Amino acid sequence: MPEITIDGQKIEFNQGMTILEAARSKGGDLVPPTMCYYSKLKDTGGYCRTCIVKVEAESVKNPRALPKPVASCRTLAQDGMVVKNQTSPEVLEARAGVVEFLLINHPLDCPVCDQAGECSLQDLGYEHGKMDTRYEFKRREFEQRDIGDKIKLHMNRCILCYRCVKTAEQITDGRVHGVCSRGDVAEISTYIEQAIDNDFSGNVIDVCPVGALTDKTFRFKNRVWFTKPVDAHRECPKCSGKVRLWYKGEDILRVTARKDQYGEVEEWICNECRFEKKKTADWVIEGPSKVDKHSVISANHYLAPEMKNDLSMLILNPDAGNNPGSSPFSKEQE
Amino acid sequence: MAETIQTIFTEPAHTQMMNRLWDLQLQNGYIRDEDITQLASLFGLSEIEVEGVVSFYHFFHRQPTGKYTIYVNNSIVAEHKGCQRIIETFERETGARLGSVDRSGMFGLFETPCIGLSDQEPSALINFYPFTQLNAMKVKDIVGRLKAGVDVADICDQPQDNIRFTPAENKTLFFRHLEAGASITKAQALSPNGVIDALKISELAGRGGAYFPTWKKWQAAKEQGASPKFVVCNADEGEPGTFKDRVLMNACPHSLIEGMIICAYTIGASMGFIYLRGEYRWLLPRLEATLADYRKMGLLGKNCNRIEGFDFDIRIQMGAGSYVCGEETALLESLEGKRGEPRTKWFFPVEKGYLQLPTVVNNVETFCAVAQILDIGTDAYLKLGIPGSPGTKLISVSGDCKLPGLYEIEWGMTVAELLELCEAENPYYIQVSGPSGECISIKEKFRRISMLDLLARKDIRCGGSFMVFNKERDLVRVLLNFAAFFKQESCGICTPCRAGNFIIQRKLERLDNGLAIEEDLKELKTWGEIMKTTSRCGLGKTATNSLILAMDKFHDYFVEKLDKSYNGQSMKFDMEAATREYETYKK
Ligand SMILES: Cc1cc2nc3c(=O)[nH]c(=O)nc-3n(C[C@H](O)[C@H](O)[C@H](O)COP(=O)(O)O)c2cc1C
Ligand code: SF4
Ligand code: SF4
Ligand code: SF4
Ligand code: FES
Repeated sequence: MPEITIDGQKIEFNQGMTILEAARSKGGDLVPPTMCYYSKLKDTGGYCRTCIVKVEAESVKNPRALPKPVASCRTLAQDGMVVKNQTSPEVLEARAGVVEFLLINHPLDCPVCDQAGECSLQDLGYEHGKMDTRYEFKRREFEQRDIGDKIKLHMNRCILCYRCVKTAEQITDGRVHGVCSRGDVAEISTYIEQAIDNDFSGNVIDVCPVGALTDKTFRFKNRVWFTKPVDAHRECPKCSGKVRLWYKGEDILRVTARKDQYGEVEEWICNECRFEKKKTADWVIEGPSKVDKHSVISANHYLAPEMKNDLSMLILNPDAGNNPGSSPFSKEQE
Repeated sequence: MAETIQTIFTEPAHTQMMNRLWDLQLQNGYIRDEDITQLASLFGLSEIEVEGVVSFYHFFHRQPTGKYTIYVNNSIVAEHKGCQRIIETFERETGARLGSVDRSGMFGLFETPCIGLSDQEPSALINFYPFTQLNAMKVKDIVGRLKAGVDVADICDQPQDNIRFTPAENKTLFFRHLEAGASITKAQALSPNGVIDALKISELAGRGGAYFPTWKKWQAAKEQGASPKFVVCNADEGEPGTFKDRVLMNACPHSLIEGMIICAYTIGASMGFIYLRGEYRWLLPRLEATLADYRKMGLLGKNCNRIEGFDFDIRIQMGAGSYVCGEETALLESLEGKRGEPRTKWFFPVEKGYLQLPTVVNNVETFCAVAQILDIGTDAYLKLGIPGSPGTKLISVSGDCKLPGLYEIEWGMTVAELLELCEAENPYYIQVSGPSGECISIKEKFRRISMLDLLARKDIRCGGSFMVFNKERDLVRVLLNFAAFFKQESCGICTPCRAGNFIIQRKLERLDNGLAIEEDLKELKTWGEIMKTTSRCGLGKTATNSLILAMDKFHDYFVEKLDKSYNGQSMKFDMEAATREYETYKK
């Protein structure tokens, strides 16, 4: 079997795998972070550039180093390839730069964002010390939009990872991609609005790595880390019925698909399971979910440094204070 | 023989998207809602996909653009030659404000990046007909005549070729006489493998800027099992300051066509495309006429040049205003009728190109060189230029010089010699290979122009554009113009280029306003470097080349621009930025 070396560890892989796939087959810290790649969808990746790695040797046949880092999700692993991820200061620096670029034009309103606590961008931001990035220019502003009555689109937070677009095109009946304009004004809102209108549309919420697409039936009810995830299933004629229920006390606050350690959906679920079944009686409970690193670490990072931001939020946005559950203050009093 | 294009391969319907859109744009001045609906049903797409394509190309509009659509070039050379005054004059004469249409709906006035006429700026396109060397008087006259009902085609200019220099003793490669079909016959005598050998001996490398050995590309395409195969000529020439391909297509389109036929013969291709940038629409009749001639002579179509079983024909695809479509994989997407977003490099185009089939993409100059090299033979070719860098190179010279135009130089000429030939006026720095290339200071004028010594940076390789700037030109303004260009032209699908170009433009504006501090310079450089290392395609990877080089080479100049009053605490108030936001807010 061909073999690739990532951060000094040898990994056997199947021909046709990307560097990222090879890394994931081993797991651990050598796996590059991803914001746009999604193993459950075809043809994703190559957009966000957070998964970049350094190729020190391309292959046995061609042992030269590549001059620039490559996107691991879009580069095939080769026999004898030597790759550096965590062990390359150059990669870490470039990645920190990419994170900074992602945060340019990103509103950083974590205190009022539903995704806080399970947001890939927030995680990356903290890991690379960029969460306090000061961006002195005006950010792009888009209106919030409703997509049907269950999904909210917050374009300001979109990082253009195209996952929702690919989801719409591959698991719903929508067709090939429809992004509008180009450059820094590129946007997908119109597309999503038109493309997503069927039984599986809710999955775009789960694939979105940030808080751009959120569940309206959950919005502002609570912080993720104050809720308790429980795996459950039901007989569903439309989907697998395997879900994760997010409890607060006795109440199911929301229903999502189950996610693996990379934050990816294990099986798609239908809108009925997601939006309509919010009573414990609807479900067969399996037991507490094992939620992997991602969602948990950000909760720890989150509370302390965000407090002061919350204060400024309250001043700048008087509504935020009146909105129950919109800041950790009101949360803790609950 | 047939004069019209022969159907050798039937392309899927949706590849006609760009052509349909062009028809509609020209017919009505914009793409109407009902057009979107119709095209969607015609091609079996959703409406939003059609919208997506339309909104990618800046020559396609969703709002009326007037009976006369005016695009004034705003490239850096045009800026220096006074395009701002031209725009103001157009505004006054037509009553249309920049970016909109006048009340009567007669004139639409827009800006566009370099239209490939840098040797005759200021210039503009009206309904895609060229108007060169504009001044206020001329603009008045043009608008007056249009108002009087004169046809644009009757009053437009025929851009000069301005071929200023070819190597002495008749050593020109590109502009020598080429008998129709001669090079094809020579290729046939050599056989496909012989053609590849000849290209190998001549060390011809791609003239679109990447300098990939042409023989390697052709060899790889030849070896592919899949069929049919395609030949694509990249005539998107979008790098500001470059116009060599324009001159070639005007002065010797037949050598381009022969080069493509030779390629098809060598790799076994059945169809060819010339992807012509929208800005060069006015070259279309000439190209079409030459293609028709070649068909009549039996050099295109069935059994080309009487080679049994060699069926090959060429169609022209118009681009519609997008620099990134010059990147070969974006070009292929566009050719397929889609948004011109660069593909990730799973495969080379020679493996999976147009419609995922083997495709050779070469630049106009590369194809012309192939035809001429085969015609004169490799021995004669190797006598041109210098060892290791044989042959001649076309260079588009513009900016602060008395003789802007096209220069065919032998590789090995120094920057100083070229500056002398074009009668440069007080040159201070030179932008070589366009904004994505390299900026050099006059102190480096003894560097040779060649394909050698790239790593040591002793020689300099020129992609085609050579813009001369005198000492009075404000370097930061130049870089700002480039930054605005890249921001505008970024396709936006990858993070570093989308966000980076945007923020770099903003920082440079601050520098230009005298509000930047030392920290800003550091940031500019760090961001520039990150864009270079992490962007997905060549656009983002090269967009900050010049900026970074300039900051090293002209360090004092940048320091001079900083806000001297900055005391480490309070920054100056950026009035312009503040009011700009107000402007956008008002909208
Ligand atoms: C942003 C970008 C723009 C480009 N524009 C052009 C162009 O206008 N014309 C061209 O021939 N090549 C252009 N190229 C290079 C092409 O990708 C490709 O290398 C070239 O067409 C190959 O032909 P050659 O080998 O004959 O040079 C561009 C590349 C990039 C990254
Ligand atoms: S999307 Fe993530 S980073 Fe952005 S505001 Fe929400 S939680 Fe914060
Ligand atoms: S809405 Fe979310 S999933 Fe869709 S492109 Fe934006 S960030 Fe990605
Ligand atoms: S580098 Fe720029 S032009 Fe190239 S893919 Fe990325 S966003 Fe598009
Ligand atoms: S995950 Fe690889 S580029 Fe986004």
